[in-house]
Amino acid sequence: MADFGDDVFFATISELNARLRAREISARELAGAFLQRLETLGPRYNALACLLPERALKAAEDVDDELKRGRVRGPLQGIPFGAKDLLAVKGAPTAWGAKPFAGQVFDKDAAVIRGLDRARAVLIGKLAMVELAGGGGYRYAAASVNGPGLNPWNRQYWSGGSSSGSGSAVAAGLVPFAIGSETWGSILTPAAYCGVTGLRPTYGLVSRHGAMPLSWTMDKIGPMGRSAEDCALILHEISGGDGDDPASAGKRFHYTPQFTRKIQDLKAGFAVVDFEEWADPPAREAFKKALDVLREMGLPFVATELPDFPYGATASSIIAAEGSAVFEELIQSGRVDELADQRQIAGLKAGLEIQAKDYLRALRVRSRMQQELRKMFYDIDVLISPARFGPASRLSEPLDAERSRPEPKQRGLSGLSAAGNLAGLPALFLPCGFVDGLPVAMQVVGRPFTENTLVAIGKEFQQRTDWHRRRPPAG
Amino acid sequence: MKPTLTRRRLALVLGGAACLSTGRSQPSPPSPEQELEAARKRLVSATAQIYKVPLTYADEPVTIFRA
Repeated sequence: MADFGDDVFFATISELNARLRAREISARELAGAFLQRLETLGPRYNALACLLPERALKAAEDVDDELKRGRVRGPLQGIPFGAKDLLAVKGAPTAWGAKPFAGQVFDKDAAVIRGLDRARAVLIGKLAMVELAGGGGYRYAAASVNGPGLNPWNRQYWSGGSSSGSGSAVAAGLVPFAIGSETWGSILTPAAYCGVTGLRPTYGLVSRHGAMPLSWTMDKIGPMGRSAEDCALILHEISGGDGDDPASAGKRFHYTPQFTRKIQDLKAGFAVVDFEEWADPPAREAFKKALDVLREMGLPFVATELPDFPYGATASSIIAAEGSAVFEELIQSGRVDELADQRQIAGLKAGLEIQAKDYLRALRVRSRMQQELRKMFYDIDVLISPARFGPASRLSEPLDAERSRPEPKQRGLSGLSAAGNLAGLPALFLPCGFVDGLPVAMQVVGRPFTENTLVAIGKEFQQRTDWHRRRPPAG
Repeated sequence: MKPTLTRRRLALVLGGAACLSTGRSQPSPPSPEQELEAARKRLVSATAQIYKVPLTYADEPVTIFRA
């Protein structure tokens, strides 16, 4: 096997693709090197759910045959990747991160896996996740059959969830990219905590067929990678209409940087209070510098704040009602008690008691939120705020601990994660600095189906910064 | 800025101090029944917030959600 330096493990898709096309490395060598690295280092971060060497090597050999015959398919051809264990992969265990589903096997691939197969990307493993993607609400990072997701920047800290393994595997150079999913913060949090770039697509843009449902009206699947451009290249391949997903928007994302509006012609909404009061004091300097970079890019800013709605309460009510309905059989059978997190078990049980009128009320309030957010976007193209207000929490710290500081009086965009997910808005998460050796990130949120705009901002930001290029100490 | 001592943290500090003074171990985690009751309370609290938003007859639920 070829002896690769670390540069290969931290290369972008375009860089790897160039080396494959130039025949400097073969797809089989690349897959073999990443398989070995994921197998060796994956357990170090509790990132690995299941290695898929046979499937990976067969797919890589097929790519090598194609390249020999001059069949060039696209930028993902021959690029290894990992998929969150919530996605069905034919013949492989798909435990959804949860003990009651350990040993579950599906007889076909999820739609996103099929899409990446068509692009000739090489699936090398399933990546660990928080059990049932966190449905019910968990208290500890250890809420997973794979153990707590450990942060490659410091293993005493959480990698974030629920796409824990996807975040840590990309950050540690175990896969060039990964697929995650977000219902409320599950791409955002691991991307921010692990210092990788994540893209939450518009609701309905990527088929969820073959993915574990948690909340039918809020689940999204998206890429996590080394750069904004990498995320765009991946989304290009996994998006598109699908009759097997009732929520499919019937649209496809085409990565077209050449047609994107100039950054100087856009208008970005932000709130000073997010950066000066909501953000953790040690993280404020990093966020301020990131804003300065965006200003240097010529992005015009206007002060704004979210319309006044109970975003968090609405999101948690809808997810609780839908999640408990999805897992009704698990709950009623008592097997829910096999989950690792006691708060989550209780949350799932309580969710079954939500009354129809309360669920419908939440959905009606959600309609109002969407209307008001739509109006907000009449004058603003993107919203920019810290992805999380600080770096990763310690593993031992309960995730539901109360804030140690009083809440600021102004809401700013502090509810943007819940609001964006309720309204199905796309978001790009960009590493933007470090606090005590742990990454922090910004989020850029846009109107539905404006992923090209978000990527253009992210790409320019990443040309001016190197936060996304940093490697964790063990890497 | 000095962190505010929240009621929860105060309870933990006082609980810890009591344990030290009596030589007992840390307070035990909540029982499944207590967890379930706490989860119900969280949902009731969330629902109460949602009902504060005024709606009209024209505000329909998002049944087939489209972004």
